[in-house]
Amino acid sequence: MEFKALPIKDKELFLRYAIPCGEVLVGRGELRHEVLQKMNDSVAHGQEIDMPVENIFKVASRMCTILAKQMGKSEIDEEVIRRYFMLEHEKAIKWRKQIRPDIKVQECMVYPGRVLKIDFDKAIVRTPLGEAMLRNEFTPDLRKGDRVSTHYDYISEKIEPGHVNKMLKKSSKM
Amino acid sequence: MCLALVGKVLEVRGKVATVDFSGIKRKVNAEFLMPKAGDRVMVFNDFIIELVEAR
Repeated sequence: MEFKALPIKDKELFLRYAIPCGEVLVGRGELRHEVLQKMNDSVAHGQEIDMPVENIFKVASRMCTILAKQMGKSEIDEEVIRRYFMLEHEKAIKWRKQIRPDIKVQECMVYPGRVLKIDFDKAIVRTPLGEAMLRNEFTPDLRKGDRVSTHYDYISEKIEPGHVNKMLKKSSKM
Repeated sequence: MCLALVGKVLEVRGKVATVDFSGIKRKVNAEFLMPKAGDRVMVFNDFIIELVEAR
């Protein structure tokens, strides 16, 4: 029996959250740095993504598939992607920590943040972990005061104030 | 990073499998792959997402 992953409707959004983890795959020899860089450039410049991202980020795409099916969807859309990376991802990482306590949890998690200062292709962002200088290439139109989601050393996307609250409300009904 | 853990299936009852992760046993959801006892599987957040190697 083979796991059938659902298609990813919004590959760009998926990659905004998945690419920050990519260096881990490169370090493990599972992904070539040139491929990661190409995906990074595609997202940063709004280019079409023609790579099989489902196979590159297998765990995330399969978990998004499971979540999509639980939500009664036939594809991985933006609601599924945000719910996975912003809400379910944290649960998944904590689950892994129970079995493998040696894994560093904090680095993997997606955190909300507020932009304090823009500095060319970087931005200083206040997150629950403190202030950090993060890569700004996926969000070139960012302004001071914007709310963002962060993953590793990246700003994944700008988030609207009511967005996460809306998801949390929906999530509690699931 | 969304890294899954590899464990060994001890038994399967319906859609639930008991998986051993080097001595730590967990009941996990097996409905997407339906493994057999003895299979090595990749598990993430209590879901089996890949069969690593069948016995």
